[in-house]
Amino acid sequence: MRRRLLTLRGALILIVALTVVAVMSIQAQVTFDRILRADREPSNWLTYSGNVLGQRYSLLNQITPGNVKNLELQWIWQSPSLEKYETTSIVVDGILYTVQAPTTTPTADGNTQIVALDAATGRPFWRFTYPIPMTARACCGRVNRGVAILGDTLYMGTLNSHLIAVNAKNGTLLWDTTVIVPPTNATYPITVAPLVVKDKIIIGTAGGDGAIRGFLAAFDAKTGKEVWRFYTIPGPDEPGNDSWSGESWKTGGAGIWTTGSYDAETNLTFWGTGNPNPTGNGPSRLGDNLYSDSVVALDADTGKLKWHYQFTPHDEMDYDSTQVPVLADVEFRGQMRKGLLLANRNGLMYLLDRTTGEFLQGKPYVNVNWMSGFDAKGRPQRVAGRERSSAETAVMPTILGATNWYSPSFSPKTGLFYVSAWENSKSGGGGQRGGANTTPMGGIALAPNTKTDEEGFGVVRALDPRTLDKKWEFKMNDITWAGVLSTAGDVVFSGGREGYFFALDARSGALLWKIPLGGQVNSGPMSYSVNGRQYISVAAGTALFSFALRQ
Amino acid sequence: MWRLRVPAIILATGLAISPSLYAQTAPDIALPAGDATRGKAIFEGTKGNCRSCHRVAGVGSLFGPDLSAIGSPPRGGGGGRGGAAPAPAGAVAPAPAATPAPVPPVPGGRGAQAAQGANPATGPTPQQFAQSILDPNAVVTPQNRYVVLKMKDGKTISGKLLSVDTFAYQIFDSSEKLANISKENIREATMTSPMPSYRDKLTTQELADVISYLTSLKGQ
Repeated sequence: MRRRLLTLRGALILIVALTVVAVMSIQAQVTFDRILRADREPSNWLTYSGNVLGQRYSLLNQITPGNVKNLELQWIWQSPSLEKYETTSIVVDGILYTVQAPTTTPTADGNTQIVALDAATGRPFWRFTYPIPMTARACCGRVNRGVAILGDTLYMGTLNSHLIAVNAKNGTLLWDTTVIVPPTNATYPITVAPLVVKDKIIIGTAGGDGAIRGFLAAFDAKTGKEVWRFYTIPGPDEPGNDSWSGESWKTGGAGIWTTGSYDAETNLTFWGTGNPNPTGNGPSRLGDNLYSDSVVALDADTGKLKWHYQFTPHDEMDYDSTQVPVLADVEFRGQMRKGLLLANRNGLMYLLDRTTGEFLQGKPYVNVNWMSGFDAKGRPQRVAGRERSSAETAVMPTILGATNWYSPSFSPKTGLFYVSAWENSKSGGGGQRGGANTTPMGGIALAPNTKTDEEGFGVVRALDPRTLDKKWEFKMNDITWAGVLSTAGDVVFSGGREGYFFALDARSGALLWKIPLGGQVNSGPMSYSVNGRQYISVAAGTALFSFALRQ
Repeated sequence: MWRLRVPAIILATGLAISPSLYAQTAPDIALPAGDATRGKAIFEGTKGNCRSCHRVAGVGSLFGPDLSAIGSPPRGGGGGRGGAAPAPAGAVAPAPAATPAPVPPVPGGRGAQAAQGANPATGPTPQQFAQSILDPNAVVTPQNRYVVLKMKDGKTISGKLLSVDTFAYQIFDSSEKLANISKENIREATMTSPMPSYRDKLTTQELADVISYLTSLKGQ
């Protein structure tokens, strides 16, 4: 009898223990509901932009304008790669997942790696290596901007056009899908961090400076099987194909290389598209070249196009629109509108209605001279002669743009939109970069800067989405490739090519704190917390840094 | 005889300067044939006092661009910092000029950079040399800019601009020291060459002589 009681007692203990384990396991699963309601768990950073709205805003408020001066370095993780560190890490329940871009020279540690680190100490748990052919690269580096997570699985695109799924617990490969087999005359590198929507992994490919036909595709999260594909250039039987002359649509570019956003209410996912190809040869592709340099709104279940807005019709200036579409409700002319905010590479800040795609307003946020205004439908009115093929004309912004892929930020608390930008940067005739000092694509090492303000400089600007007017700015001497993070503590974090990482007052732009990190800041900062302590993380040079308040 | 009008020049950075811009800055004078030996004497003597700021073959100041190979095509397409060639190994820097001018002349402080790399195949043209000497502020490459920093304590610091960031200037100052100058201590900063114009200091013949000498400098 006593023995039977002991057995029953043991069984009960076992059942309770198994239940606890099961509950913990369920909690550890990153469901799409958790991703959708990331605001409920600000300790985590579950997606590239922090939430599916693309806001790069943290609800953590431990770090404030009053105490940010007490930030101190907690840990550094040094990547063995010598490529630009453009990844935004994600953090799930104290584990940080980041990506080492494949290096440019073959070394033992030089391949793409997903790395799991302890978010409080930077100590590595595991790393998953994915070999990339040395020939695989995007136009401007062998970069990777990060992973996505759903359940216990990490998802990453690769430079050789694969989408892979990796077990987040132990770093083992679950599946490997070929997104596209590139033709001999083009490459389709994937640099973008995927976006998870429900049970699908959405991803696009770069390569739009070459002869690709860009697309966005959704894959089943469990199997890796493609569910839908949306070509960013319409086919012969689709509306918009006649915006390309001849056969130019087949190789018209319009790649995807920055993560999109998602609106659960309308089930629309929004993505910015890249430049038409060939960039500087407009006559070879007459017409507006849809849907290059656009934002497209797609049904997340089917990939069907709901609406589009083209920022730069028939672009010759490489004005990719691959900026993060930021979703926020904005008061416009006395009414709250479901807004989509996008600070474009072409130098203009836009407010669209994200439900219908209606153009609400647009305004330069840097010096712009290629257009003079908009028509009633929001089409830009070009200034004659301000184009790449005009030999004697300096065009602003430059072919490298007013901003680029690096993320802006929107703070629902301050109601301000923050963007890193290049000012006064201009391209001379023939599309050459103007100014006596060139402004190259991002690098890793600090480089001397002797530019004058007339030749271009970097700036973090705060814009009021209601008017698109500038509220404040923080000026740098050199240009910037760094994204922006805003927090509920009313602090804005960013950096630049000078290698400083700094904190600004979200309401005034006043400099609150800075630290030189010894390498260019090419990524967007993010924030998370572990055991109640807020961390700010950013990559610079080839390393990842994490800061917290001094204890 | 050189007519100081050219259709275009290419700077060390590869930046194309339009004919109209050159026409605004280039002196419209004719030059006789020059004598490099006489030019060398002017360069090294008190009249030019060029070595108080420039170095040739290991002799002279490091403050201005090294002109040891200024007559050669630019290396690597131009754009190199400082002079066209490094000082020879083992070269000993000379003592400062015995009779320094009140404002140290820096031939080429701006103009010499325009001369550097002006012609990728043959080196600078005589016209570009002349412009550099007569109007050193007319054209300058970013790699050879100079700053004058007026400090809040009343001092003035000048130097070659190595880099400027949001918070500080990094310069090679007139005493040949590397210095990081915090912007917090600066009242006013101007990017201007300390090199004076030689328009009223050299005759046309002397100018031609100096240009002949500079053209002869091919480095090692």
